Formats: sequence, C-alpha cells, structure tokens
Amino acid sequence: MRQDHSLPAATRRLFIQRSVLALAAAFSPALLQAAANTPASKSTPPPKTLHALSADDYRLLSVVSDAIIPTDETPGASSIDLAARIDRYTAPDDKELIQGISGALLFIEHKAPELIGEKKAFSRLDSASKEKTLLAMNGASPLTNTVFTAIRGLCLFYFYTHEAGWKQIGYDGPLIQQANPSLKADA
Amino acid sequence: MITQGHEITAALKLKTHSVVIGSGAGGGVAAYHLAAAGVDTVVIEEGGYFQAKDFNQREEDMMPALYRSAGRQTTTDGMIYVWQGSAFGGSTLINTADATPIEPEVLHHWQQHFGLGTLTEESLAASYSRVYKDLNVHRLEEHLLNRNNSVLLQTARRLGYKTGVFDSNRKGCVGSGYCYSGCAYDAKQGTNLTYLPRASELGAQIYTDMRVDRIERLSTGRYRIHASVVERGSRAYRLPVEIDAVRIVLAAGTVHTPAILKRSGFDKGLPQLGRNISLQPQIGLAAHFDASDKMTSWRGAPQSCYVSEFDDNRASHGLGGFRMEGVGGLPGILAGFGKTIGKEHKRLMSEYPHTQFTALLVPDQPTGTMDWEWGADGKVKPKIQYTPKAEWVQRFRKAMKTAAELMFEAGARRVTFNSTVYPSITNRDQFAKIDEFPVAPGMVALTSAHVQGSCRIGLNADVGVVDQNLKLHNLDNIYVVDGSVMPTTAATHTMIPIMVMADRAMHALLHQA
Repeated sequence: MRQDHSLPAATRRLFIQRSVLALAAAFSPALLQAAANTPASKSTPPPKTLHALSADDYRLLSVVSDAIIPTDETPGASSIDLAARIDRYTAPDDKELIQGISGALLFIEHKAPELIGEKKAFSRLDSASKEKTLLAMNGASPLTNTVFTAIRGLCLFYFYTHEAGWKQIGYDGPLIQQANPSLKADA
Repeated sequence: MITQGHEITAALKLKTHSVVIGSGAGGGVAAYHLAAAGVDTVVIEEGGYFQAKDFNQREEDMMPALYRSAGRQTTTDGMIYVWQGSAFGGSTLINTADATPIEPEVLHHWQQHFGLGTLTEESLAASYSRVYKDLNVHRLEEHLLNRNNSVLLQTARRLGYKTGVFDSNRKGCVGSGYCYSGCAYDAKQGTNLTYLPRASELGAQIYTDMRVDRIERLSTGRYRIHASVVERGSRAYRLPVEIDAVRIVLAAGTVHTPAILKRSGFDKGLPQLGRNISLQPQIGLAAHFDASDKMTSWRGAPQSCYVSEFDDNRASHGLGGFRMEGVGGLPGILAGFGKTIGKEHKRLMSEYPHTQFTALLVPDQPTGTMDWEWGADGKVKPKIQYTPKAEWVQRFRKAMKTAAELMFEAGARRVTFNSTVYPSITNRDQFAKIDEFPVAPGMVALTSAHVQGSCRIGLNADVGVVDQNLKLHNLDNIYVVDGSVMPTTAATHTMIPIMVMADRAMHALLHQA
C-alpha cells in the first residue's frame, strides 16, 4: 500500500471531522459540479425537516449506509432511516463537520467507483458493486482509506447505538431509561 | 453554590480572592483546599453540570455532553484521538475509576533528569493519604471483574506474568459498565461527588457553562479574568463575565491551560509552553472466542485488571515497555473495530457477546507540541502535533504481538486491531505480519486518554513552565494543577497523579500563606 504521510487524518467511528474536512476541500469544487449534473439515482425522499445535512447529502448517505449495513433478515440502515438519525445528531452549527461529510459522500458517489473500473455513479451500482467499491477504497491509498474509515465509522456508530441494532448482537442495552440531558439543558 | 450557565441572565462582574479554572482532578482538589482554608474562591467550568439523573447510558448522547469536542479531538494528522472530559468533574466524570500512583521510577527520573528534588515518594505520601481517603480508593472488589477482564488476568497468571487488579475510587458500584458515560448510580467518586460539593458547602462559588477567554494582569498586580457564559452543547457565546482576583489556579487540562496562558500573553519568557507533550497512545484489540465463552464486556467494571510483566520503568527514562489492560466497551465504539462491512460485519457483530477487548498502552517520551487558534466565536482550536518515534513504534508492534499471543493462549480464534487496514490474525504463523502494519495517519486509529505535558515542571523558565510547587515561573499568584505539569507521563492512569500533585501544591501554598 502506498504511504503518504502528508495526508491529513485517519478517522474512525463518528470522529470524522478533520479527515473528511480535508477531503471536502480537495474534492468538493469539481465534485459539486458533477453532483449537480448527476443526481443520486436512489430516490429516498428526505425527511420534511433536515437538521444539518442537505437533501442531496441525505440521499447519498442513505445509499452508502445501506451498503455498509444492509437490511436482510435483521434490521439495517434503512430500517431506522440511519441517514436521518445521523442528521439529527449533527449540530447544525458544526459547519466543518457538515462540509466534511458532504465532501466524503461526493467522493464516494463520483470517484470511488473508478477503483473497480466502474464509470457509473455509486448510487447507480448494484448492491454487490457498491460493497466491492467501498472495500476497494479500503487499502487503495491512505486517502481513500480515510474516507472509507470515516463514513464506515459514522454509520456503524449511529446504527449500533440504536435499539434496532442490539438484539442481533446480544446487547441488552442501558439499565435505566432516562432522557438525553442535552434535550433538557437550558430548559 | 453551583450556578449553571442558563441561570445567568445578565453580564456578570465578580470579585474574589482565588479563581480555579477547571473542575476535574486538579481543579476539584484545588477548589476544596482553598475553600477549606477559608479563601474566597470561584470555580469556573466550561462544560455543563450533570448529575446521576442525567447519565442515560447511551453513547450517542453522553459523548457530546461529557467529552471535549464530543470525543472528536485529535492530533492534527488525525491519527490519535485525544479524549478529555469536559463537564462538571472533568475527566473524573468519564474515566474508569482506576487509581494508579506515580511510579517510583518516574519520580526518580524526574529527580535525575530534571532535578526535581522535592518531588519524592516521601514528600507526596501525605497527599496520597488524603486523596485516597477522600476518594475511597481501595482494591476493586473481585465480583466486579467481568469475564472480559478475568480472562486476561487468569491467562497472564497462568503464563507466570506479573498482573494486578486496579485500585479504584468507587463506592457501592453496581457493575453497570457505563463508566465512560458518567455514573448513573453515584458510585464513581469523581470530583463531581467529592471535592466540588465539599468546596461548595465551604463557600466556593462554582459556575458551569462558563469559558475563560483570557486573563488580564492589572496594574495593581491583580488579575481580571475575561470569560463568557456559553450555551450548553454548542458552547456559543451568551454573556460576558469579568472576575477580579488575586490568585489564579489553572486546571483546564493539558490542552486548554496553556491555551489560556498563550491567549493572555503570558507565554512570553516561557519557551517550554505547549511543548513536551506525552500522549501515551493506546490501541484496542478484539479477541474472538467460541460462542460458549461469554465475555459480556459491557457489564462489570470495564477496566479492572492489568498485565505489568512488560513494564520497563527505569530512572533513565521513566515509564517504558507496554501494558495490557482489559477494557470493556459499548457497541457504538466497538462496532468500528476491524475492516468489514455488509453481511460480514453483521456476522462479526453477532460475536460481540463472546469478544474480549484489551487496551494496549504504550508509554511515550514527551515529544509532542501544541499550538492554538481562536475562532471569531472565541472557541479555541487546538493543534496537537505528534509523531510517534521509531523506538515507540517498535514497542507498539511488540505489544500487539504479545497481546495476540496471550489471547491465542487464552483460547481466542481470531484477533483484530482497531484499524481498517490491519488484517485479522487467525494463527500464530501470522504474527510476522504485525511487523509490516503501518503506523501512520490514515492507517490506524490510536487513542490517548492521558495527555500530559505542555506546562511541565522545571527548575527555571528555560526548562519548565511551573516550579516544583506548580507556580508559574514568570508571574506571581498563578498556579497550574492539571496534567500539563507532568514532565513525562506519570502513570498508566493519571487521575491520582494529578490529584496528588495538586494536593501537595495547595498544601504548600496555604501553609506558606
């Protein structure tokens, strides 16, 4: 694997801020134009009120998260509208993070399929090719690995912190039922 | 009295004798001792005030509420996550309640290498005694060890390795396993339940949701603290605060204490400010066992035992070698282990109940540096520069091999590290692969839970930021009592070292006064 120590960030789980930020800076101008010309084929209707993400980001995140955590005999990303959950947990004033997520999604949609020789946008690929594309990102270079790690981590964190993901992994969940204190703050 | 930010509705001006900035391990101890000595004291905490009723045992809610930058603070290259608590109680609110003293070899190293002759086991003994009593430190009860920890302990003992069960500052622990998310049972004896309430009862005024922006030195020799009441959560500016004081005790942590000094212009004449950072980076290892061997890592005391066989602590360099510690965890964090997606990842997650988790702690030398930027909103953006040294990488790889070997000995079928690049290890013949695992940005995710340095103790301003009594070298009446003062990493867990150093400094100060 090629080493590139000048690259900005390794990321994992939800902690994607810095790396995808750099990716957004690197890819966004060209890809934003491409995105404007090639809308995501999956027509997941966005929630009426998005908290932080744009409608396009929401649609792309829905497609990508479904590839990372497919719905089969057990719940997956689409079972809980994972993209909407991630949107709800993203602070609207965290512009850097939002820009970073957007840049990473655009990279996956428009550049990553080239890694497996595909010219179609990611959202137009079949399920097997989507998974193949994402796995190809992991290991192609530190750059693509960073995007893969970031988006994978984001999706896995918010899926497996949701009750829908617990039964299949044997996690019995919190021992108490209390509200999120952030929702009570400043009340 | 404890005042939360939302209770403040107008600009605030206060006068007091001493201001403590930060409410974690060092700030809590300092606040208590000042208040107990009858000193008019104000404590300022940037984070929010949370109690047991607020800790809902959910990662997605607790990390943004209790951790600095919602747990997303990293080194500038993104390779190492630097976790710090940021709420009433600081990191004592979200740590695993492990009580470890400063290792004797570390003190010897500080004496020999830095000339810190007054920091001896004897001179710290009284502080240990007080802190251990105040925190109810005792050997962790055996029934709180889960299988996740005991499999590490038992296997290591069978192999003849040195091991131990942690001392702990718990009281009435029910073994819920949610230490990282704040204790909903008030069992973990952090400063939020010990020193801070006592300080409050003794008259200290404690403010939460209040960020210190800078400190102004007045012509009288006193200080004026310029602070902001901030929104809970977003920490957006709400209201201005000015506090005039004679004395300032900084305990905002290794990252933010030097930032306050820098923004106040107090870094002049302190060339070591923001330098000499230790991160003690660690990596997680997941060992997959047969389905019949339930680890249930998320229940019981998450981090309760250690393997110290491979410590290499010496007066010549302080902490060395590496340590293995059992570490339980919650599914959101642990789902990120490995490199799989799709059905294969789902299959791996189904092994969660019989997966054992170990943290590999590899002490480092203090080679990192820090700088900071401030946004228009007044928020500080730390820039932590840190590149592991070749010698550290060598020990890191040895730690991974040794831990993998131990887990195979324990019966694991496969071992996975917290990297989306490193392949799983399925048999001993593959250990050589570990020598090729890249340790570079984008390749591996490391964690630091014990960032230290940045305002280290030194005999003079050329070599340190504070003296052996933790007073700033270049200004009177400013003290630093957090992890930033450690010349090198003090111990594998830093709550007790910070508290003991703060206790000693406050006793010296108040005795002299």
